[in-house]
Amino acid sequence: MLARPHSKQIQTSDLTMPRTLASGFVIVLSALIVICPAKAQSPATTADKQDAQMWLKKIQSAAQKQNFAGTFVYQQGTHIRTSRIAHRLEGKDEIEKLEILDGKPREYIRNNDEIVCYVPETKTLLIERRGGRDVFPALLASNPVALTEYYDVRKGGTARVAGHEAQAIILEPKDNFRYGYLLWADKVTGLLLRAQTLNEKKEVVEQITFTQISIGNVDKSRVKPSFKSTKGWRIENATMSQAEASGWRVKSVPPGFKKIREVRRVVSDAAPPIAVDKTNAHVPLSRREVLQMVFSDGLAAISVFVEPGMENRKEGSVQQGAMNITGKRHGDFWLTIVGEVPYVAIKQVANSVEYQSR
Amino acid sequence: MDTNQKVREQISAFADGELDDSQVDTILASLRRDESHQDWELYHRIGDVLRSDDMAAVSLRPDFTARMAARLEQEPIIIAPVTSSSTSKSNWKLAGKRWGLPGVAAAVAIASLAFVNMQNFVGGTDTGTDVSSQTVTAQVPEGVLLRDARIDDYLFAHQRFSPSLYSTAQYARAATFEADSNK
Repeated sequence: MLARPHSKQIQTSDLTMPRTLASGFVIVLSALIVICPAKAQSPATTADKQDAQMWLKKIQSAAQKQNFAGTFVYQQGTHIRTSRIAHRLEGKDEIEKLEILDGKPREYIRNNDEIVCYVPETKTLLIERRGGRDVFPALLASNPVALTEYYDVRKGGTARVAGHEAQAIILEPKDNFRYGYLLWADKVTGLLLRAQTLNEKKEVVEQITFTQISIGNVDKSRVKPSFKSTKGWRIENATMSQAEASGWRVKSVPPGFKKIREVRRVVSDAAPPIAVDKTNAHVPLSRREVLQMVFSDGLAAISVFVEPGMENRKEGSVQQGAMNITGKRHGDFWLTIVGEVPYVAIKQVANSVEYQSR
Repeated sequence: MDTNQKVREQISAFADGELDDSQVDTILASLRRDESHQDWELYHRIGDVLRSDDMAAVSLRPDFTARMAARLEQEPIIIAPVTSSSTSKSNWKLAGKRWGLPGVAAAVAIASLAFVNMQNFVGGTDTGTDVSSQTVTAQVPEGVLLRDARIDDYLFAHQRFSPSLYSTAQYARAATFEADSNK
């Protein structure tokens, strides 16, 4: 008896049913599941999905409530970086220390939503207020249930990650405007130990993982700054206020993406040199004002930058790991669209930017 | 010699890229003082105007400097096809402009060149090593690649607000765009 090729989704039934007797049955079952994804769901699968959503909630809360300390590696395309993190809950307050272990020393002490960045080589303290607890190993500020509209959320297997037994959670995109994600959460506490972004071809384009982590019992000293004294250090406030509506909008945002931010900033930069000048000639600085609109579906985001078009810029696109970036001209303006989404989503946004004067 | 005058000259020289490395640190420190910051901005404005062809035919009014200085105090103009003045609420203070540091021109150039050839794309500019494993091939239909080294600035600004799972590792870059002189 010839067996038909399996459907793409691997059903547990495919693996456990003996082929000789039940191939026909397996084929029918697979077909049913492919054709009627919602209706033909057995109670076990629905409970499974709810369980997966519960895991997302667990991941969210673990990052805030657990005491943990460890080292993690982040990889995006060809770029890799290691960091050390320690997190302590003191009453209702979260204290977190993040140290960048590669390149110039950088240290961040977070006290709930306020972050102080220590820059030792310039003796500067950069203070920033950050909204939302949506950074690794936290999951996201948005509602996990809302995520299920655009991602199929389900449990995967279990694996050992960074020395801990972990539960895999799969977030499979329901359309081609976003990437997929694989998450591994510590089975005991729910703490996120590893996350991977998968592109359309199921290749890993971005990932973050603890290489070593200890959960529970983090000494107070581990979340204190490494510098004995910051007396005489310069303090800077990196605040940015929400811009009032600028009149710029994106007509066709991919489904599920909502505008979460609109800011305006003034940027200075050196004009890009055409060739490497051996004398390292300094190029004059120019200033420009840039508008940024950010759209997000809860997991991924797309930024649209609008600025007055000035010099000759080449339209085009580039990809770096999970990031896609496109630049294009729009009348007298230059648009740059950036996002950790497939190119088709970037393109749709880029082609539907418009200005409406009020 | 009047210290302020000396500082002013140094700022002007720095704006024109004429200071050497040893003097740069000193000048960055003095730039952080507010008045020096205004001087800095003023010199650039003047420089832009002087270098701009459009302005060649325009003669400057006598109080141009004062007016320009006053103008610099105002919020930037709203970006819109129809120019209208509006109070932008953004109030980032930019100090220590790393893009203007001597030696950065080479780094910027290298970044630009790297963009032209995607194979050798040097992703992060501040920290970490670059793994030369296979880069995921892009599904980018239009082949023209951006040669703009400002890409990193956009990435930083984006990652600052993105709820990405990886923000912990990324926001480190976004928050240090001002002070990070690694580039």
